[in-house]
Formats: sequence, C-alpha cells, structure tokens
Amino acid sequence: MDYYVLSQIVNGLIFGLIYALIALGLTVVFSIMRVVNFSHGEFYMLGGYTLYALTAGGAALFSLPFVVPTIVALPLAMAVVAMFGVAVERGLLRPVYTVRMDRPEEYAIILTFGLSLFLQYGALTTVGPYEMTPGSFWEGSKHILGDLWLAGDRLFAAGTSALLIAATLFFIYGTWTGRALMATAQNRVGATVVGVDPVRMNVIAMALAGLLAGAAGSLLAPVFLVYPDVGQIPVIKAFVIIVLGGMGSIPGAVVAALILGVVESLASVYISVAYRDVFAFLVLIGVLLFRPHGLFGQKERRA
Amino acid sequence: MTRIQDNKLLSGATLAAALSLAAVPVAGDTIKIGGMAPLSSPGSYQQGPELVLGLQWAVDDVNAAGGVLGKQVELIVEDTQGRPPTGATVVEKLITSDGVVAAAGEYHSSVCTSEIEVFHQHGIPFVIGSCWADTLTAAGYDEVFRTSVYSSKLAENMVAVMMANGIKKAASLVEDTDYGVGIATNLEGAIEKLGADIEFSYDVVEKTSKDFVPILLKYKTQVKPEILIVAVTQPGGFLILKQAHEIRFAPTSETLYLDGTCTAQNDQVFWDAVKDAGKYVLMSCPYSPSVKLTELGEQIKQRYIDQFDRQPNYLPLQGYDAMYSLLTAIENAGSTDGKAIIAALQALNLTGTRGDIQFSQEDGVWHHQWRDVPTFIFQYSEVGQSAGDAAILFPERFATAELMRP
Repeated sequence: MDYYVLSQIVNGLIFGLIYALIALGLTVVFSIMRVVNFSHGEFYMLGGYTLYALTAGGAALFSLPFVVPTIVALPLAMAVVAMFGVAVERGLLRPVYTVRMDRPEEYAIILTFGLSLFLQYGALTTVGPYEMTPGSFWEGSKHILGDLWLAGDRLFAAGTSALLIAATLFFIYGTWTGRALMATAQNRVGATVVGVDPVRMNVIAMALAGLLAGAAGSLLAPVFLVYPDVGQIPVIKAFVIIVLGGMGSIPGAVVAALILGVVESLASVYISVAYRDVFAFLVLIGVLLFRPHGLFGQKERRA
Repeated sequence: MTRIQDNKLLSGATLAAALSLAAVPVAGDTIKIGGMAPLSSPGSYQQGPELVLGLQWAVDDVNAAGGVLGKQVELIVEDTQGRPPTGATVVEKLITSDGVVAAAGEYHSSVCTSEIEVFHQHGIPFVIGSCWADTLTAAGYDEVFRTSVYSSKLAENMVAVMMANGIKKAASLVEDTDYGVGIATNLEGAIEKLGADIEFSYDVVEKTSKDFVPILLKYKTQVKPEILIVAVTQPGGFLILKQAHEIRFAPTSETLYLDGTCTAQNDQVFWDAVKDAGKYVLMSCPYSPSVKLTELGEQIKQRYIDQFDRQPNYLPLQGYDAMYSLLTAIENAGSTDGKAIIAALQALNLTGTRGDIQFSQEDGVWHHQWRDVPTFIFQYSEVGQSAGDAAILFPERFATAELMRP
C-alpha cells in the first residue's frame, strides 16, 4: 500500500471520528427517548456559534477587550448546548411521554423539524448569512505522512472526538446512570419498576446529546466555518450512520461512522468526487439489503 | 418605498421581510415588477440579499425621479432558495397571481434555467441579474436579456492570463450546477479557441460537501497542476481554499489558486473565513473597486459604503444594472406590454453603473447579452487586503502588477 492510499485512509478515519461524534448524540436521544431529533444539526450549529461568540465574536462585534481562550471556550460551548438540550426536553419534548396522545412519535418528528427550521432561520436573521471562523484550537498544518498534511484543528477535532467517544462509552456502560439509561432504552416499564426515573433519563439523554453536538459543532467550527445551515449535511450523514450502525446502537454508530469516513475518502478519488455525498447512501442500501437492522441493530428493541 | 437600512449584515430573512413591506403599493396604481434571488438555504443566501439590494435601489431611484409611465414601481421579491423548481414556481406566481409586467434578478444559473422557460411561455421580459451560464442567452428566447457577465467570457479571460504567464497545466474543481459545469466546459472551449498549449482537467464536486481533502490530495500528488481554478460558491469555495492551503497544495509556488466565483471580492467575509489561506489568491470578477465606474456607478458604490461601511462587491451593481435597464426600457416602450418592452430592451442604449449597456442581437451566447460587460482578474498580495487594493492582472489596459507567486 503506497503513501497515497494510506493518506486517504488516514484522512477517512479522521473524518470518521468526527462523523461519530456528530452521530453519537443523535443515537443517544433515539435509543433512550425514541425521538428522532431533526434539530440535531442546529444543536451542532449552536455549538459553533457559541464558540465563535466566546473566542472571536465578542471582540469583533462588540469590541470587547478580551477573548476566551479556545480551549476554555470548548467546555463552555458544550455546556451551553447541553442546557439548550435540557430546555428543549423540558419545554417541548416532554409531552411526548408524559401526555397521552395518539401519535407521540409523529409529534416529536414535526416538532424537532420545526425547531430545526426555527433555529436555522433565527440564525440567518439574527447573526446574518456570512461564514464565521472562531479561534483556533491548534494552529497551522501538521505533517501526517507522505504528502499528507492536515490542519492542526482537524487533528485536534479528531483526537478530542476519540476521547469524547471513549468517555461517552464509559459513561453509558461503566456507570450506574449509564446503565440506567440503557435499561430505559431496552425496556422503559421494566426500568421504572426497578427504580429508574425515565423522565430523568430523558433529561440526561438530551443533555448528553447537547453536550456531544455542542462539542462537534465547536470542534469543527475552525475547520468547516460556522453559518446558519452548517448542520444540514452533517446531520444527514449522522442519520445514515445511525441507521447503518443499527438504530439505537452506540457502538454501531461509531463503527459505521469510521466505515463511512473511509469509504467517502477512497470512493471520491477512485470512483468520482461528484458523488461523494451519495456513497453514504449506497453503503447504507448495500448493508441494509443483507442486514435490515443495520450492523449492530437488534430486531426488536422496544418494550 | 422602504429602504433597507441594515448597517452591518444583510440577512436574507430580514431582507425578505423588509421587501415584503416595500411591496405594499405606495399609490393606488403601480407598475409591478418581479425580483428573484436566493434568500434562504440551500441557495446562496449570502449573495441573494446583495443582488436584491441593487434591484431595490434601482426601483427606489426611479420612483424618486417620478416612477415609470407616471406610476410608481412596486418591486415584489421572491425567494427562490437556489432550487430550480422553486424558481419556476415563484415566477409562475409572480406572473399569474401578482401580475408583474417584467422581472429582473436571480443568482443561480440552474434556477435561471427553469425560470426562463416560464418567462418564455408567458411572453414576459426578464433581465438576468447574475446567472452566468452561457446556455441562458444561447437559448435564444426573445424574453431573456442579461446585463451580468457570462461564463465563456470569464473562461477566455482566465485562459488569457494563463497563456500570458506560461502556465501549461491547469485543473479545476467546479460545483455540480449549470454554472459550475459551464465554467469547466467553457475553459475547455476557450483553450481550444485561443489555441492555448494548456493541459486541462476538471472534477465536479458537490457544493454542499465539507471535506475536499481527498480530491485535493489527489490533485497535489497525481495531477500536479500549475493552477487550480475553483468554481464553487461559498461556503464550499472557502472550504476548498482553506483545505488546499492546509494540505500545502495551493496557493504555493508550484500551484496558483484562482477563485472563479468572485466571492473573494467580498473582502471582509473572505478574510474572516479563510485567514492567511487567501494570500496570493487570484479572482475573476465582473467589477473592480479600484477602476473608476460611471457617475451612476460611483454614486451607488458610495451609497453602499455609507450604509454598510465596506466596499460593495459586484452583486449590487449587477442587480442595479438589470433593474435599471428594465425600468428604462418600460419607460421607453411607453407601455407595459411584453412585446413593447422587449423591443425597447433590444433598442436600449443606457449608461448603467459599470458602462454603456446595449443588448446584442447576435445569435448564441450573445443573444440579448450585454457583450461589453466589464470583467477583471485580480490577485491579493497581503492577508487582510482590501479588494480595492488587490492587484489587477487583467485586462492589460488596467493591469497594475504582474502575476505574483508565493
């Protein structure tokens, strides 16, 4: 294998890690709450805008005499989006499981879709249409191998994504709260019987999703800029990833994201870059033909 | 009429709201004119509001001078979202529901392509604001006129610059639209037409993609062009430049970088987005901030600077020229009848913002095209440089510097 192919694979894996982080929050919300959050891309956007406001926007727009160091702004941005996620759960999504209604899942879909449009047009109206670049996490280009150089920010995003994914997996599978989340995901009634508060689990799931989307949006903002519809394409990829990995499967989402990153990287140079965003769907169709529940999905996960 | 007063950022939604207010008739009897532009996603909502600003200013100025045919002009703006079907739908609505007598505007060539069919079907005149694909005027429709630049002219300019600087190998990344593919095919045509000894290849990319590193890495290691020409509108174009710089491909001493969309001319936005990646970038544009405009053009330019505290790019001027041509033709026609307006547009001889506008009667791309529309190729030489300070490389009579390499 020559350096060129290896470079493409390495770039694909790096991008896959970033995809995984975006998809993780989406799959957590789906697995715990059974809600397909169509506004996840706008959570991602909010992360980017928050980072910009803290690291550059305040100084640029309001002549503030200070900027927050980017590394400090990252957890702050994550916290802001997590709080926003909690607010969405409490203010908008709670009726899905606390109020008796005929079609709660449809309600959630329409609601999150509407929220997505509201946030996108809200950003267009209040912040404006132009691209913004927040402060950098790791400036300059770094030599990887052969002719492959990558932005320090991209490497930082991939490395931090790996750490956050590991931390999320540990939280889900290694802590009592995580196990309670999984119990709720598997059997909501059963979890309630053994003392798990499902409403609290939903709040935690939305906070976790906000935290991860905020992290993804912040980490990628210096690489891919911030603008009102910046979350549209990533969230479409995230949907492909969670279906590919198996709806609700967290390890499945991570594996699917890495596969997608590598496939897109290689196919766009060996087949055609014109269809780069189509390859995700081709892989999805191919996998679903043989594994209708995705790579790690189960036939029936609902209570 | 309500004038847009946003001092910093033109927001598509705010603009649409303002223009819907502007669309309220100020008199009992008005002449209705349609205006189309992308004001929301997935269209280029960064560009649409700038174009609409030019359309609106032309209407405001004409109204302030007494209107057209003794009536005030009412501009009805529709958001086409960069979607061809939406473009056709809103044009149908403008004609059949709103009763516009003519229209001007639009930014995306693919949307223009669907719109011209509706205008042609209804016999309603349409002056293209900023769609560059040759095929639009080459369709030969009586109703369609264009005051903006066109792709084959830009392509010939780029090839001329490459020839003058001894460039033998060029590659291009173009977006998956009529505009992008048109630029690539026109570059091929221009190389052949001018007899240039240039090896040329291109790839079509999805303009919504975010990661262009794989294809850029292929270009860097396998194609190895001396210049990379990018015809992808922002934000995709900005991301390609950032990533080309990050992988140390372009702009470098081995590979130059040319922005074929002229989005780099919006200097504040450009430098904020790409930072030091923009140094030595070339751009192909239909307007120069440093070359003197007509008296009208200088007034519009100053109005823009006064209102937004920055230099305009080409779009407000193109929008103004399109609308001003249309309104002048209606006045000259003495009627709002479509055929009379078309005849008046064909006979038009008008000083616009960037020169004397006349529409060619020749066939092909020049059909109803302002042939002498100005075009330039610039190069930034410093990070954060104003578009007005960028060196002019083309045309030769305005050239201020030789091509610079990193």
